[in-house]
Amino acid sequence: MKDQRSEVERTYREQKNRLWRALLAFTGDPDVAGDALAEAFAQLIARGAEVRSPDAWVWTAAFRIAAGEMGRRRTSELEGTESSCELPEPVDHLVRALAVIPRAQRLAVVLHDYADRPTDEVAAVLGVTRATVHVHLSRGRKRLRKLLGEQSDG
Amino acid sequence: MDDPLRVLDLADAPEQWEDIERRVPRPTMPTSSSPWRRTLTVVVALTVAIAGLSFAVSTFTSGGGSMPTATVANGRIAFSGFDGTSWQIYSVEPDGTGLTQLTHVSDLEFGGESAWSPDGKRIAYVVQGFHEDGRTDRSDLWVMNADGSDPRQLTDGPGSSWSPAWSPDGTKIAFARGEPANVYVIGADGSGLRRLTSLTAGDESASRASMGLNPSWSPDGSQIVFAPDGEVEKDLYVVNADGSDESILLHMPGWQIEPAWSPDGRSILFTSSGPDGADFGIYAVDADGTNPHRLSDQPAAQPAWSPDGGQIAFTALRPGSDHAALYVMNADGTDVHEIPGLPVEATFPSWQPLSEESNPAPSSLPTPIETPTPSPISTAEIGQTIDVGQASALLYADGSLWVDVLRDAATSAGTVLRIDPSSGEIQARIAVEAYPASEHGGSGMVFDGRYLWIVGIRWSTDGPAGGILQRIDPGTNRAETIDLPVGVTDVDLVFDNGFLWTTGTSSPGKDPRVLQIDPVTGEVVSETPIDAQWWGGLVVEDGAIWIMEMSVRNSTVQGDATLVRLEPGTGSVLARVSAVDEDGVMASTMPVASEGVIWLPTGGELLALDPQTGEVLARFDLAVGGDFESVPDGSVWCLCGFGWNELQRLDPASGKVDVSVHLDRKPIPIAMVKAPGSIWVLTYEGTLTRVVLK
Repeated sequence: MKDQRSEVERTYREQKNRLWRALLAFTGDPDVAGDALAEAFAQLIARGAEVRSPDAWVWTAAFRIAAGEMGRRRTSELEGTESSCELPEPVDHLVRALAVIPRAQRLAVVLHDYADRPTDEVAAVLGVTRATVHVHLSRGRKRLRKLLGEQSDG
Repeated sequence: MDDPLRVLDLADAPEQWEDIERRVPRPTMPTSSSPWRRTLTVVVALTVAIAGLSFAVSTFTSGGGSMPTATVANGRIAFSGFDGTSWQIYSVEPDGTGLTQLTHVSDLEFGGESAWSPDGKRIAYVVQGFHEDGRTDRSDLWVMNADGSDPRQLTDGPGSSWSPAWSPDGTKIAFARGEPANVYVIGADGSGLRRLTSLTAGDESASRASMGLNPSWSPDGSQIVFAPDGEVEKDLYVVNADGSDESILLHMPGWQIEPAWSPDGRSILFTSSGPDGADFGIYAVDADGTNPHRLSDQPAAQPAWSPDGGQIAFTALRPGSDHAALYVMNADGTDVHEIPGLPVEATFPSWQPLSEESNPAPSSLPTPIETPTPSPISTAEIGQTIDVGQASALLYADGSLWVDVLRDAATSAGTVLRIDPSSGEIQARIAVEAYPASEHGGSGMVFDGRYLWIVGIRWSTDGPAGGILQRIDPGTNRAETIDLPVGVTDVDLVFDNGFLWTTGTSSPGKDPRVLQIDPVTGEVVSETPIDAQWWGGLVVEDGAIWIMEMSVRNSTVQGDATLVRLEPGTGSVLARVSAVDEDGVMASTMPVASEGVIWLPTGGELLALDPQTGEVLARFDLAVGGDFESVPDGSVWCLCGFGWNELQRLDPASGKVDVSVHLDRKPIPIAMVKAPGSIWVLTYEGTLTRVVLK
């Protein structure tokens, strides 16, 4: 049991920054990101040896938890929510651009292009096929480029 | 541009480990992997190790509907490929040379499964649509020449169609459609659609996935093997080509999917998940259902026979990568090799039969082809007007325009006119008992892919004597009457999920309820009570039942209408959406549902709603006055404006009205329907006017 917990902690140390940043980019809210991350790791501890691939599991779980939380809150409430955590300006800039991209596209872009998660994991989080993931990716990238271009131009 | 996402690295996560260790996990546990609902995902999920292959030898011994095959050579392999931007259908020589892109669908579409005609000259294929926000839209079947030229749409809903399989004589195409998925057969020219199987079970979400079933013909054309949907177990079934004798062919633990009948008729290839559900591989079974055995140890799926029966093409993950690739092996599982030089992802192989008279495969790129997205309309002109007489229900289905004209006001009986939409000529007059009179017109008539249905009331000398459904067979123009267990029906009739839905009461105003009717048997399979005094506008989408409730004061419908979602069976209200605009004005017409969206007009706006939650997905500045409809290309046509006399098209992608035609205010337009290249407008005085679109 002790071993398992330290194994989870090792995964946490390895993944926390990247996972939290990806969750932040997806949700736009540092608190939702932190909560989804903590919940996913708490569940990972509870599941113990049942989880064979903790790394992949915790990513999938955290994004599903975050997506569930987003569904409960609705986008309108999330955007512009005051948070306890101050973000560096360029990060804030990016997060605001991401916020106007449809959720599935944003999730695909963040998980695949930022976090380098494999396509099938993105497909599993979204509950769609690889083909659909690629559609989300190509549309999301296009839109993000356009948005960031517009922001820097204006 | 540098990767813009890298700026995320400037932010650091808060330290949460102590919180995590103390935290009590919430009870709802996410699962570590989603069910493998679609074949592509199945391929993804295969573990990637092509090491230590040991091959079972397939034995094509026992007979079973076997038949001598003509000498056919192996041609090109068609497949669905992703080049980093879009999914298109390609063809390639089995050695990887001569790669040719055949389709040019938009990046909001997905060119999916394909199937060669037996003469190797044509390809049937699937085009899956996507909404702008990434939700999947309907898929339909198309047919094109082997070089990609002359693409024609074969199906146009209702529901998704996929998994085409050409009959051995080349005259018909079997395919999967609907929810729950069933095997249908349609003529290769688009005529004579009929449903072959009567499957009702199956996981809803699995069957929504527009995959599975994968019908495959026996080479003598007498039988079809298919794999019905099931979440835990999927077995192989066979059915005679006339729809009789549906029976199980093979049961094994796990999923048996993607059957493919061998060219010599003796065996059937399939993909099995293996007993533990995770070890996908290619198997063969004798055509009589005996001797199932694995062909190769390699994790693999989507087997396709070479036309000479000597080889098998299939899909597997490229070793050490996350990408699906195509492979070819001998029919006994030996000599596995990848087809080189394909796009980054390649799936759904289908092998071209080459008979002697067949054209050689194309060596040059085909000319660019038209995509199935709607072409912009530059002119819309008012054309001919025909007099039909006072009429209500109006529909375009099965290539014809159908309108129910009042024949006898005393008994509320009608005559359905079948009209050729290109000439305006009346092709048939069909006497019916049903005449769903609606002041807004248009509703009460639907097409289920095979029959036309009209809801109505049977009248006796004493008054209403029971609700009825009228069924018209477009093949014979004959009408049949089916009695419903209600005294009175309303004008609502919807086709959704393979079922008809209507509303009725025991007697006027008493025990209102929503009826779900199986169009195959005519039986009422569910009833949902409506707890409201004034209601109308039934909408059913993906099984979610919605109805408009209106409040009434002093016998006048007041302007506060609500769209409510009813729980099937109990009638409990699951969700409510206000159907009035900010000035408190409701629309004079009822909502419609189409392709995963409910369109709810209010006095001043048109709302697009999520059919499950009622969440407003989008608002459009469109004052729908009279009839309106959402057409398969995603646009919405309406009789808009105060006098219902502005015929307009809304493009939801841009949010703009891009077509607008001013009609006469008299006679008042009451209903409209979209036909290819035209809109037909029905007026209160019984004229039908054609608006020609170019």
